[in-house]
Amino acid sequence: MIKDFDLIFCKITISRNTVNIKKQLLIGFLVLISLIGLFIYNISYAKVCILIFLVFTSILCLIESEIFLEAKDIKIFDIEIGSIDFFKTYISQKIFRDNYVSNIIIVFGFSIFLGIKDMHSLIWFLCIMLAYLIYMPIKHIIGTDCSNMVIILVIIDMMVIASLILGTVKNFKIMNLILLNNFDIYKIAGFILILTCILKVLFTFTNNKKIILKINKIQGKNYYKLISWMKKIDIYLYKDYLINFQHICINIITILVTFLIMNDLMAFKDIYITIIIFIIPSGIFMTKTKGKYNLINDDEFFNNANISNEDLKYIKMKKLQTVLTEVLIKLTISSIVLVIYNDFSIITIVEILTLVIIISIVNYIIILRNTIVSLCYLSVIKYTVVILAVLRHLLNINFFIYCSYLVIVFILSCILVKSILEEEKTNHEKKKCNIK
Amino acid sequence: MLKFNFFEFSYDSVKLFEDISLEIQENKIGLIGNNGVGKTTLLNIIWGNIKIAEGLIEISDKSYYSIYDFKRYDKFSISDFIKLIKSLNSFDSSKVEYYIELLQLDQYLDFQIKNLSKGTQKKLGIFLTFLSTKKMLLIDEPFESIDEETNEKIITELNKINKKYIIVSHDIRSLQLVSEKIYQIKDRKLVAYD
Repeated sequence: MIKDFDLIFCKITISRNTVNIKKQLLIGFLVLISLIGLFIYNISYAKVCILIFLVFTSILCLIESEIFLEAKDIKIFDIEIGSIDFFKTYISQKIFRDNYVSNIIIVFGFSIFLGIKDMHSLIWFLCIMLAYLIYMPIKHIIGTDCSNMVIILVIIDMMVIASLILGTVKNFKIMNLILLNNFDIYKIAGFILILTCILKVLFTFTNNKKIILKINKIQGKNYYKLISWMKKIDIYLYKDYLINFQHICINIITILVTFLIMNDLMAFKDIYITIIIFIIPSGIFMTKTKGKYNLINDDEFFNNANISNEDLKYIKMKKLQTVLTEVLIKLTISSIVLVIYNDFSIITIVEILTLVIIISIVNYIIILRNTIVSLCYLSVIKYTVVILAVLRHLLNINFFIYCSYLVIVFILSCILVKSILEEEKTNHEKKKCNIK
Repeated sequence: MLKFNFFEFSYDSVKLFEDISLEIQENKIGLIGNNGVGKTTLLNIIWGNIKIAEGLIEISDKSYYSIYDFKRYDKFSISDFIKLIKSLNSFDSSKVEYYIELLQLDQYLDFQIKNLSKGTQKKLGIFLTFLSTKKMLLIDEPFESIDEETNEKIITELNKINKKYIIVSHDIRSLQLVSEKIYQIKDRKLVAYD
């Protein structure tokens, strides 16, 4: 290894990482304040959150990402995997390619706070941080060289998270995990199952993030077969689901997790209100990357100047069809929840169906009209529907007013959809060059 | 086919093109130049993917830019792609079988794109380019990574098709076979290649 390589490597990594200082300072101080607040409120709870966060982020060392370097990248410098130089290089790039300004504020700020408040906790925190730094490259080496060990590694991580929750169960109020009866054990099992599902999704269904591990690559090869039946229904529907499968799965899991947590937290008497607030407005296809919706942006072959305006209209129609399939997904989730809570009725389902259709059309418009102004007024429309639906149940507002508003929103949405379908693509060729 | 009027373009403060005023009347042209001089950038400008701040380019027709990167579609098969483009007017689906045979893609129809070799993926890109209904084709490096036998077929087909095109390549021999005239990007200018 060349002399001063570490120093040069760190300098280059820092200089090439574009940092939004204001944003990172804001995030750093917000997280620090939250962490201090949490620590003052409950020490055990704060420690659980820190440990869960570190276990989760260390799992990301098993995933090939566009941000961090991997063993094969570090090998370019002729650094042997597992050597001290590898450890130094891997750790320094992990630190400086990340939001290091925020992280430094959090780590140093929290250390100073702990030094003043509780010396034992400071030693605990520093030991944990050191162990975390050493654990990251170890995990990456296992992921790269010993792929058959990975499942064991993930199971150990899950057991760590489970034991952390169980160990501090009396303080873990958000999940309401007080072991008073058997039902709570089911809740813990459900929570662990959801965590495992998120990991499974992260490992298996990836587009631009690939798994380093061969074992997961083998599993990942088969998932497209799960949805191959869609080809028979519509090849464009299949295309959209295949390209966005990872996001769709993660969004569904997020909706379920949010619903379960918020249902515990808010404890509405009527489960229907929780459904209206947390399931109905969610967007299964509304994942964004760098400010652009993946449903459109990831479908780059069918969304560029090679495609004629007529075909673009057809493709937009197909996207509408894809977005409307979320009606079926949300309706299924809502129906299952209503059946579990013994609140299922045809009238409720019809109302949910109406709301979900309207919201899905609005979601589609948001995806296509991705400007701040559009986003603002469409969000207002979307959430007024939700608020009105909640108010109707809480305050029994007039059914005619409620229905009239829904009809107006539906008609307005249809008009907007029509105009979106009929608008010609911005002819950038015409803007910049003359076409005779 | 193309007319440049005081055209200039810079990338990250590096000037790639400077004060170009030129009229290209030939319909089938080749474009050469050293690495990094801006060949692909020029194609992207003509396609409309990159904005220009200085000058004007007059283009006779809308164009199709050859795409070889199918990363987002790597779980699709060539058959899936054919099914998709058959519903679009931007591609001439009546010629699917002909080009499948020409480019020897028939044995790979049900392979996932990620399992295809780099050359076969490129053939898929050329296959889609040939099927385009646009009057002008912008083809970047069509001869690279492709076997010699298929390259000969591509050259024959390019000579046969009734379309305008700009081909970027380092393979001057092949370019001479398919171009009415070859242009070179040199010293930030677009000049005829002797």
